[in-house]
Amino acid sequence: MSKPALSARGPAARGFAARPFATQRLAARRFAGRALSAMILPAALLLLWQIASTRGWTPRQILPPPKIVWASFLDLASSGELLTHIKASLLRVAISFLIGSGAGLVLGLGMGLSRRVEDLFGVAFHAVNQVPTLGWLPVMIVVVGLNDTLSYILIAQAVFVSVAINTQRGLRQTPERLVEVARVFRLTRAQLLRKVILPSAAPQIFTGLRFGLANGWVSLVVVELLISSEGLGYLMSWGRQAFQLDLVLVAILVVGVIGLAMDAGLARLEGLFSRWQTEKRFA
Amino acid sequence: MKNRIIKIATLALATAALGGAYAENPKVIRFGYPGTGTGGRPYVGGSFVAYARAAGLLEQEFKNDGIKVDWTFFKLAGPAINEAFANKLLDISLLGDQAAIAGKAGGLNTKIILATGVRGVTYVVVPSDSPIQSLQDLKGKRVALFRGTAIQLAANRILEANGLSEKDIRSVNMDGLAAQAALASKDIDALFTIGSGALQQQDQGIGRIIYSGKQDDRVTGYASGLVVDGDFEKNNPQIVQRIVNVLVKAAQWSTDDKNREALLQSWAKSGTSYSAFKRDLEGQDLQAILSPVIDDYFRATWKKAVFDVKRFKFIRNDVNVDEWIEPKYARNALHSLNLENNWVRYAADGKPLQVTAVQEP
Amino acid sequence: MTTSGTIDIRNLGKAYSSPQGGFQVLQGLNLTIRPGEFVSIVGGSGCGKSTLLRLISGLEEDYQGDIRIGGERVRGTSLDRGIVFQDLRLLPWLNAEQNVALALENAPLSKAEKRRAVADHLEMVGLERFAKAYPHQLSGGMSQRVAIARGLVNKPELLLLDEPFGALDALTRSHLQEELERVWKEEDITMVLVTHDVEEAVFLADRVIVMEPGPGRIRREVKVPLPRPRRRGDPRFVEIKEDILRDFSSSRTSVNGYAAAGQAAAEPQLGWAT
Repeated sequence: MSKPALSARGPAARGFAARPFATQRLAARRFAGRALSAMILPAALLLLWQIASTRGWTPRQILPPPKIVWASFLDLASSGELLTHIKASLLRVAISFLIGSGAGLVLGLGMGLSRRVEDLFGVAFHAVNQVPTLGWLPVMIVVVGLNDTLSYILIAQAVFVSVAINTQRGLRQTPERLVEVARVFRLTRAQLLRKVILPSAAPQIFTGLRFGLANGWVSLVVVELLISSEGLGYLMSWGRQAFQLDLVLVAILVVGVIGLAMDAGLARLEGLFSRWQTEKRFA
Repeated sequence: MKNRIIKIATLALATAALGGAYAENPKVIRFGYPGTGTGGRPYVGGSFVAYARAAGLLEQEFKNDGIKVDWTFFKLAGPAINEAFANKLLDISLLGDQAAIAGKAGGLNTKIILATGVRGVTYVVVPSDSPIQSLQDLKGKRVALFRGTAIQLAANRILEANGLSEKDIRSVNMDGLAAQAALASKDIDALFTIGSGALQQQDQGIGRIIYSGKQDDRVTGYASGLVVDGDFEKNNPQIVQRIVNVLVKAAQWSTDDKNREALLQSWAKSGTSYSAFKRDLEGQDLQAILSPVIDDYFRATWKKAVFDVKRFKFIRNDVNVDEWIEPKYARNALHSLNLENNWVRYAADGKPLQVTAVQEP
Repeated sequence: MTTSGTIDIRNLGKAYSSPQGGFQVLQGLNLTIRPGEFVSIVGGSGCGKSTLLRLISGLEEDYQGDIRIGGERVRGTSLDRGIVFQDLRLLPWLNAEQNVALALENAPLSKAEKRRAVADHLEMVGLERFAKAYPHQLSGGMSQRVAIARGLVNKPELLLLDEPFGALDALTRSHLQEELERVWKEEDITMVLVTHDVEEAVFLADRVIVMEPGPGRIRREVKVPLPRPRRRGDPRFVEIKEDILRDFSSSRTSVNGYAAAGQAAAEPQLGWAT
């Protein structure tokens, strides 16, 4: 076999050689830029908050100034109380997330891959989804009772729905043109699934997981408001009951930060699973 | 030149408007009350303020001045009343000790101007077929209490007096009506509650009272008072005085034993049964528990409440009770109505003082 | 290596049904392709040339008439028939090496042999240095070479190419055409190239099949008896090219309204140099 001459001299090849380094630098700069622009809105809100409290637009009992909230945060953090609440909430979410996403993946895979499973569960599943997760709360309270099981069920359900829907959608959206490639190379159904369908669906499945986590986190807060005596949702409800709205704000901020961190964690995990996709996103 | 005239004219107008507003009576008195009647109906029971509401006494008093009395019954009770005060949506309200203290500690500009009740009774109710017999049995059980209200303070005191704490139970935050429903559906194992609801549940066969605070009111009894927004009080002292006068008269009528039946009937407008109120007040001295007088015991009760609320970590800032209480309206009312000796005064330890040795509040 | 059979297409017809009624894509098509031959198929849009390729590959099985390869009727796809799609169809989550290896998933080779075959074919198309690169990191021309390597790695008897260079710039395209010719000679396989580009067809093919639409059928065959490597400026080359292009301008008037209704893109391109 003779070496092809054009490997090093085509314009395309030249372009490529220069690319990885430039791309990296560019991506780093873009990332920094994006991080910076992501901070603009929170910073503006913080400023607005500060102004609102110094100018007395809202009573300071209702919207305590940032300084007080920060002091309360340090107070709660140093006493270990905050950590107790965080631990309680994280544990609740972690367990529910595992249950909900596991079940969601199973049903989503089933409905995405088999028309029969879709026929069997699809209508019921989508009918159930017409009601927002928290809409089930009154019914679930009656059926399950006000207890920890209820919290796990509600959070898991929020995760489950999102994961199942997105998994099914992701599987269904596999481009026919790529399935044809698999046919050309005579891949078995298992190979098709592993090599084509699952990777193609992975971003959507991860979207489902991330939305699921976000939904679960919201449900957590609602459920804890209602039935818990620990956790960040409890802290919020207690802050309001005790007329210490600074506690509410501390809890809101912590919930926000943890939610962001978990989402970023999932995004990283997604990156490991589909490097091609994340690289493209930053490029 | 022209500009200057306009400026002066504007200034004059503004001054006139401000001065006018200052002197003028409010068009409406926004009166709050913690809790609602059954199913949210706008009547309540358990206090002389509830009677004044049912009898329309304040409405009558202010009818000729064209001042309306706008009652708001807060399902979410004290915590919601604090928010309403903070947002300047409320002028005056009856308020239980813990919520009032939390509001004050949070920086609300309020004053306590009248006693509306001391030695408040808290009950612990369990489903009628529950195996729970005593407070000790509550350990690890799912117990409803209304956080941020006098019930939570009372519950913590009761638990503490019995060697327990809120951490020993699995407490669930529920407002009064929600907790009653939850007990009926057995979603909770027990509930801390105040007032007649507990007895009504017992009457209906839904609940069984395993603890009544009647025996140890000095330890666990809660207080309530009439709380007024500081700005409202400063701008409308005559109105506030008239409100207090009306309520003191209502207190006199309410604590007169010959009106007991009529009082209970007026409370029954709230939807809780007459007999439940009757049993709630059984063996109780209305003169003592519904006295409007700001005596040493009233002050001591609030000081103890502040102390306990802080000790249970329900607030983080201190509250100076003596600065908070503004006794002049009550004093004026008792004087002008010639009721100074109508109620027995109690010392800080809860023991009655000699009537002859009246101590000016 | 030349064990491949003759491709024998007899009276081929293909219709698509749609809610508006049936649509005849191909009708009465007869074509024989000898083993080792390079055949180009040209024609305007709608003449059914891509459909013909898909039928030969076995991706479409519902047709009238007969397609036989070495006497065997085509049933489904086969590793003996490689295909390079117009839109490449590299899997974006696999790198160059993995994309090529995908074709070998079910080849009767050991792991080492597979690795070897992948490396050889990447080298053959000059991409050994970019084995780990993902499709989005590759230029259009490089991606196309990965697709060709993937089409060839199974050592098929027949490689079907569906307008593989359509999206490339002129320079890259002519490079790849030379490349493809070299591979064809080296591997000694049958190639069927569908293209819009008459010059490309003439440059590469032993025989150019001119198709016309409505319904799709063969208008005529043009032999290209020029020695390789061919020179695009060669008067004989130009003459054959012009001859075929004349077909298109006449088909435009003869086929009632069909081609006239088509857009500019539907017209055959005049070649990269013009």
